[in-house]
Amino acid sequence: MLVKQKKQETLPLLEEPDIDSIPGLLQDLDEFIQANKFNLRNSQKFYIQTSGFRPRSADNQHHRLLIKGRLRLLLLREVTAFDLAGKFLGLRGIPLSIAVAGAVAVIVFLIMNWFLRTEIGLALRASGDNEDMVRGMGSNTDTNVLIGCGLSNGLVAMAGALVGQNQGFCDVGMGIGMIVMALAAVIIGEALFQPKGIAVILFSCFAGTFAYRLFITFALRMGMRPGDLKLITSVLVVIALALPFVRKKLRHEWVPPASRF
Amino acid sequence: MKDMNSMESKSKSLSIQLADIRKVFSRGTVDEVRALNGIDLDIYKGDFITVIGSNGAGKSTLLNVIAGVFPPERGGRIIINGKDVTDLPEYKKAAHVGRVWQQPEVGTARNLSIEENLSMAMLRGKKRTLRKAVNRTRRETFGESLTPLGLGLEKRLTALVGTLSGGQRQALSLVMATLSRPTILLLDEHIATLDPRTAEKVLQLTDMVIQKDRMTSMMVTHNMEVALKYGNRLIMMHKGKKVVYIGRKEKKTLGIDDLVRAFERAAGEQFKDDSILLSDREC
Repeated sequence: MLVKQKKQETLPLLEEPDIDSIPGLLQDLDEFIQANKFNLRNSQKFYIQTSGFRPRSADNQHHRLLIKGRLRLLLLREVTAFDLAGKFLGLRGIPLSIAVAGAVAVIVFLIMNWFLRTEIGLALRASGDNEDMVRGMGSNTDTNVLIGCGLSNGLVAMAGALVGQNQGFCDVGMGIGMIVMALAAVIIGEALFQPKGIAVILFSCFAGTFAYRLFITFALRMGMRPGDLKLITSVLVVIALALPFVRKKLRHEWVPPASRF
Repeated sequence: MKDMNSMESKSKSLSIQLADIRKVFSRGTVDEVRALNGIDLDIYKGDFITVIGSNGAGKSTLLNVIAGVFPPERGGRIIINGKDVTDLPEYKKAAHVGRVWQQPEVGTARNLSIEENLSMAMLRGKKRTLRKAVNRTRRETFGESLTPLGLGLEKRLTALVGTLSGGQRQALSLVMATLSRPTILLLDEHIATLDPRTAEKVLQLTDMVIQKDRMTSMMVTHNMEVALKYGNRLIMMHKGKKVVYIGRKEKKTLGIDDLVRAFERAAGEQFKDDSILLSDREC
């Protein structure tokens, strides 16, 4: 028993992830450098990434994921960004949340819209499209993947900070299931707008998030229990995935084989 | 006069030197393949070398080694413009090497527009910054580079590359490979997947682009006729070795029959070579 325990102790992993120290960005960069250096396959990279966040045992004492050394951080007495913005704008409650979130969304949209059109941003986008070509054009795809992951995790960290300040507390479980929701939002956005240009792609991400939340709210108002939310999400994702194909079938266009996914 | 002389010597100067290039895949297993068995090759500025050989002769491997997709075995050396670049990774070698792949899908990014693809190509080997990837002056350059193709692509700069045909994509690949004036242009059976008429068209475009800038280039092909018609030197490969070498003077007078005979002779000798090699290893 003892031996077993010890083995588990030494089994994994990279360093202790600690959201509080430096938000997501640096920690994930480090993980990705390690993963990329040894040329791991994507599935392995993904394992390393996710396993870093997995609780080491069922015992709550051994949660690997902590915020300032605790499982939950209360921010009710702190002065948050929302408080400051509220003083400045003279708003309170829900209108204030909408105003701040909207402003942040607009700023992020503008920054991303600029960045993805720069030379570095273009190399980043091309890396997602055709790695052979990008290397052939003299751009290091590993670096590009690092930039992309750093950027997205930085955004995630910022979003987490906003949510935390808005609801008045942070919890280690806050991010659970978030990736599925994000994926659903992006897929819905793509299905709705079928974007081609950068600006439209970005806009469809935002719009997809909005639409997803709208659907969820509708479902809840219609009397579905919160426990059924997962079902709603998966049904939504399936519909959104199928929508472009159904549309093509109706127009008698060529439908790519399923291997695309 | 002095200038003329230096120009002259420059045009004949060595561009790329390959010394004892070997490549073994899956070494030490039953699948061991000796793809390249000691290739030595001097490529001079302005050379247009056609490489011919049967499947598995090592033609593509040779181009991949030059482009840096994988390094050669220890002992081999690749020297570009006097600098040893044997162990540089592909993305660093790319500054010297322009490439057109066999499949149109590999050379271009399908979800990016034509101008974005060209912008990627323009910055080959340069530091990428936070400036705009596509601006007005660049757009003009792209238009000028596409006009000679005569395909009307210069009017469709914002179209996604995925909407182009295979031939158009391959022509675009060609422009992208030469846009930043690399030291050498590598063409890896770039017309193999096209229909005969498109292939002919792309081949003519290739010749035109190469002649225009007197670009140093290497073209791999299966087609003997093509290999004889284009280029000033010819290499025939068999089992990872350079078995026939034809210089600029002989190449003009050579016919397909001569080439086939030369190949058979060389291949026959090659088989003997191999049996010697095998018996040596078994001893």
